[in-house]
Amino acid sequence: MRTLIAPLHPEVQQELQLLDRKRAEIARRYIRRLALEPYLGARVERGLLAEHGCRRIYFDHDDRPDDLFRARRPTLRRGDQDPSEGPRWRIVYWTPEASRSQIRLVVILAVAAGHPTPPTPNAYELATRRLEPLLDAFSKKGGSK
Amino acid sequence: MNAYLISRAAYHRIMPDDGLPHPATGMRLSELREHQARVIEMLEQGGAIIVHTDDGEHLLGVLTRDRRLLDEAAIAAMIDAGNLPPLHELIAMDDRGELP
Repeated sequence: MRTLIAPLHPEVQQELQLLDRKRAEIARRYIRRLALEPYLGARVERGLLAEHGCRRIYFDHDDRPDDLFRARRPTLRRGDQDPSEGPRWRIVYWTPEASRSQIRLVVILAVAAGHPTPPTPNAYELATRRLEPLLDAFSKKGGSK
Repeated sequence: MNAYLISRAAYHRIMPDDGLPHPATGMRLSELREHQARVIEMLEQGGAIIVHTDDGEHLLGVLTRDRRLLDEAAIAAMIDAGNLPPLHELIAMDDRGELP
């Protein structure tokens, strides 16, 4: 199966432009790396994004996206730290597969902060807003609990 | 649990040979609620319900939560809406190094 990065949504391009130069470059390098490692990010665990197998990469200014084999130990958030103290930024993405065509797409849904100051939406909220219309385009959703 | 009704047109685009997930059954719209437990069980197994109107005249679509089907339908819809180039073009763009 071949993995292709879908052209970036204009809003995602805008989010990259709003990042400082170094973080924007790190985000772009992570996005390129997803063509080789589409499952690099951890699964999102809740909500619509989880239902559709979306993933997220945490990153910040000291990341090295090209460090495939973790030659340098990544900065990790300790358990006693507030979530906002870890890497601040998230790349949230979706990997739908066209199995008949043997194509896996990586659709970047958001590049944004994980815990912004309210009312600024966080990366997951933005990603959900962008995934919903993609799903609504072919279907009607019915839910039950 | 969320399930999606893939429209008839979208389903035929992604499954031209009319292949179906398994298990699959047909139901009329009003039967979905009547047989809700069975419907949910089938959907949880990755199956599909072929949904017709109550008069049986029209095929409304295929109710499923099968990720493979939903992925195919979503990709086809993105291409139709112009949000994504056709896959052969996308491959050519990748070969030319034009993708992110």
